[in-house]
Amino acid sequence: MDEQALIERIKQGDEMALASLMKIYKDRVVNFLYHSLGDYERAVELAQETFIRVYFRAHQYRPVGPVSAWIFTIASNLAKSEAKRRRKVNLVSLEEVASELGGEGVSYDPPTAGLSRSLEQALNELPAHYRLPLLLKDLEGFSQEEIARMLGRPVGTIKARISRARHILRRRLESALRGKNDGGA
Amino acid sequence: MEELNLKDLLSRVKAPEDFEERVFEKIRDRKRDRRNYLLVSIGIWRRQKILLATAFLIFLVAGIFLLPQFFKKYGEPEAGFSPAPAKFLSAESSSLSLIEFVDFTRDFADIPEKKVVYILETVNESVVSEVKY
Repeated sequence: MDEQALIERIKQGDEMALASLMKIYKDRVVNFLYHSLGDYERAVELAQETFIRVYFRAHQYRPVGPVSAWIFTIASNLAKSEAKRRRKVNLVSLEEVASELGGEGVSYDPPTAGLSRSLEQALNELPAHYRLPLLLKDLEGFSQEEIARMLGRPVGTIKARISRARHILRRRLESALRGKNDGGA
Repeated sequence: MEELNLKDLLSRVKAPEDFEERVFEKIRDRKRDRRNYLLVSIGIWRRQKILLATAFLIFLVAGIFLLPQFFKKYGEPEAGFSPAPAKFLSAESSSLSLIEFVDFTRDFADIPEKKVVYILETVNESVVSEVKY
């Protein structure tokens, strides 16, 4: 069914329409939030909050852009707020605790060792204002103009941030790989 | 180094099985909370309306009785101002004594160089100098 029509039905309070929308987007939103925060449990909670907001704020949706952009705008705003909150209280994710304790970890599919792990680590170390545009571009495939609208920033700023984020990521990844190679030799 | 392809390199995580159920559960909780909040607000309003009406009435009565007194008090001349003695206001008197408080600080505020300014006036303690207009 057309996503715009689903939103129209959600406006009327149709929970089945919300279920259909969730079926389409839940994995993408959870995945995006997981890579934005590096914490699976929190990512799931915020993804649920995203769809709750879709349900209660469906009347605020204006069909000027795709539904996906609207959903990811809500998810990005939640990720931004979470990043701010974390800066204040300096939270540690369950995954980090699990890895420190050497336990089995939480019930999610963890990244495989090597490049992926280094990349995830480098990504988690990026500031949120670099990480979010990069993930929206490279992971979710939104255009720079769409990301600018979603994050409420000029297109030039978004272009610069994506470029800078890639540069930082590449540099950190190179040094991580170099460190591993030196350690292995 | 080659261009990074995050989509291929990053692991993909999925939503848990009970994702939708938990969302609907939370939606129901929020709806209930909103309804309760509305009912509590209406309840408070009903219970408090007599109290609010009384408070409004007290405010109104206090305003009616106290405001005229307030205006009466502040409608009087300032305490610092000393009016001319009555003898100078008598019909026979051809001159009127004026006592003016003059503040020159503004007049000299724009002077770029700070200088001591002397204001010379005739001072006579025994005779009131008359100013004729």
